[in-house]
Amino acid sequence: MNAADAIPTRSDSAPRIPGDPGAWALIFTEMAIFGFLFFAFLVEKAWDRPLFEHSRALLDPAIGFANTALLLTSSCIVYYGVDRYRVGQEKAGRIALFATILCATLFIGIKVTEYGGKLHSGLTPQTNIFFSYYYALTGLHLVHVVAGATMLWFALRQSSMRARGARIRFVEFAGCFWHMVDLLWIVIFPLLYLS
Amino acid sequence: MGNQTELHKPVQYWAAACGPIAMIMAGVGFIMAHFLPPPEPSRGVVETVAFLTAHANAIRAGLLIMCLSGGTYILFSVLLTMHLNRVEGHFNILSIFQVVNAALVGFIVIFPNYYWFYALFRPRSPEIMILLNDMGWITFGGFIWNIFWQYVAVAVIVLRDRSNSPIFPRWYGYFTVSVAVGVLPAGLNMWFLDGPMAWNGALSWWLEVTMIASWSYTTFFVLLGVIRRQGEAEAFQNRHVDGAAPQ
Repeated sequence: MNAADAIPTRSDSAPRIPGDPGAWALIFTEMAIFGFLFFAFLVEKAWDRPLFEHSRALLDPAIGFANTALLLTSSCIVYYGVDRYRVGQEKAGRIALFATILCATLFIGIKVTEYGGKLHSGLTPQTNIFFSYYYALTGLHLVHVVAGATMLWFALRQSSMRARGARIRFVEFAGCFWHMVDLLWIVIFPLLYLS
Repeated sequence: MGNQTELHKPVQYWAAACGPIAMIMAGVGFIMAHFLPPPEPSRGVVETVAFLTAHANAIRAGLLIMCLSGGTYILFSVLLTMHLNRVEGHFNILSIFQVVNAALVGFIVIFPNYYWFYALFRPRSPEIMILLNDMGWITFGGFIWNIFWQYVAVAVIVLRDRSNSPIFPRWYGYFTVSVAVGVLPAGLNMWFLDGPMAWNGALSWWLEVTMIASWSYTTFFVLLGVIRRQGEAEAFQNRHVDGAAPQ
């Protein structure tokens, strides 16, 4: 039995990379992409501070805060869910993953409503450079929210015929991806709505 | 034991090197043409015409180098396809889908250059010059539709390989997924005169070229390992077929 076939548990004696180790290439590359965009945003902001300050005031921090709270809660729930899978309580794990997907759906709903309001009051990606970045950053993040929720859905719908080790590793990967989605939002929220 | 020669390893290594070579040629060509960093889309008619006519010969020469890089990229992709075929087996739908898209990528890095060649061919009215310049940039930067599907096909083939000794490393499949996501925003450059989504923007240009270049270099290094291991795997299989016990 090689290391890849072992069933992940909570009490692994040797340190182990959660999920499919190769999948971290995806997570790190995505974070590098966003890191690059945050940097570009800050450079542009340094060029035209008054415009960015004025445009930022047009965003509603309450909406951003609601979404932050939602994602932080969902991150806790997904942590609990992955843990249940590891100890073998898969029913509880599935319920937790489902609750995470509900949080994701709410996040998407709030985001789409926010976009609707902004577009209705004439604030489009072409309005100015701040709103270009606002739509680009939150839009790309939203794509990741949808991808993460889809992965969680496939994780909880996995057939019980699959080997338990492979099943848990996929749940772990979906969980880690979801933490990344949360982490990126925690940077985007102050960057766009607060600073 | 003729298989080492049948594998044409020197040709394979050259074909693998064609990925980075295509990137270097494209970079050198664009720098020569004064196209790196790209001129802002918001530039006016007078400025654009002055820029194009001032650098007319440099633009023609630089873009010719860019044109040559297209075939180089196709050769590199054909090698990649041959190894993806080994993963996929006889009914290789996705490998062929991948190489057809790669061929169109090779075409689309050549084709938009001709808009600038038309613009500079004879004295023209400024409106036509700026139209051709727009056509060149929006197509060159924004036509990611084939490279996107090439990446998707590579990622799916690599990640579907569930064997114990996969031909491509799994991280390479996952990496290719993020590269596919990273090039996608460039497809929206027709909407923006400035900002991160414009044809010279952080998202639509710099992220796109960084993703494409880093994917090509990564694929080159991954292919070096794949080519090196290919002989070993095949020699092992032959021994196995001959009835000799492996090891």
